[in-house]
Amino acid sequence: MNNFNYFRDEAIKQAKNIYDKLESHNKMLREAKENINAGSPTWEIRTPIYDPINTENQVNAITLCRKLIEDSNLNIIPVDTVSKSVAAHFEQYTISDSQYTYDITLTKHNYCLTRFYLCKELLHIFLHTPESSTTEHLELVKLIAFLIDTYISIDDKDCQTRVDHAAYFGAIELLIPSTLVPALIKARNDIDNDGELTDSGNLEIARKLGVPEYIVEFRLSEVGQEIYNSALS
Amino acid sequence: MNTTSTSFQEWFDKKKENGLTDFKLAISSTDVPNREVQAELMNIQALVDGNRTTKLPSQSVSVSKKADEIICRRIGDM
Repeated sequence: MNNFNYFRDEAIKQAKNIYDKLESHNKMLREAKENINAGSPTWEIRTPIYDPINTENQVNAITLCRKLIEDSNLNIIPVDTVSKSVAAHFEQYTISDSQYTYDITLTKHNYCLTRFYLCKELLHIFLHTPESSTTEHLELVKLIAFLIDTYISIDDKDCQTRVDHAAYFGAIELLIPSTLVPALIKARNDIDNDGELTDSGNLEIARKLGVPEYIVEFRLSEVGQEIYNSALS
Repeated sequence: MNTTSTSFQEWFDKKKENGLTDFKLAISSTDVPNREVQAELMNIQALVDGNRTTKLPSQSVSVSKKADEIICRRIGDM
């Protein structure tokens, strides 16, 4: 099985399933946010996403980008600017009826956060529909307000915000495939119960996968498992 | 939140004239005061046009050897 296609298809499937069931997931996500206290990691690492079919063949976010650059008109634009709030943004331009160009701009973050935000923006390529697009200034203002404070519109039916939720879920699936989660939970428990290891299992897994620690904590939590399991069902 | 400044709207409208059909963004922190977010949004253009680089961040810390073995063993058991 082609690694790139596998991860891409799984991420899209998850994101679309969650999009369809977003209302119930929002409640669980809100509970998760209230109960998870892990801070953002301060370290930077490079660890590829695992291929659960053949762990000797590894796929990472850069491989994914290169493939997309080959297959479409995608431009990744890292900027050497530290931003307190704007992590990344995605722009789609129409060339013709079926041709688009995409620009993803990434501000300066550590490796794990960069991977996460890159994957989140990549999902917008796959999830885009005319109904979910943001082309009007007021739509963008509304979307920004939603992103800054999800509580004000957690049950929002608006297409733009639903797609943004789905993109976050899909990004997590891209970085931590559901097929790996049972093994990762066992590994986390092994590490936490090991007398010699001082760092938590979530932190070690975050280092291994190159994913922000708080994302690992969320994905391996009971709430995270419930959200993704219900999306798969 | 007020992001309706003329310069920002003009910048966004210009993109639409150039064929923009979708615009999404990721906010990295909800702890930043709204007015600071607003100020940064005003600078999106500068973010894109002013500081381009070809470098993506690289690793500096890796998983401990023993934890790595545990993770690989568990994944290998699947």
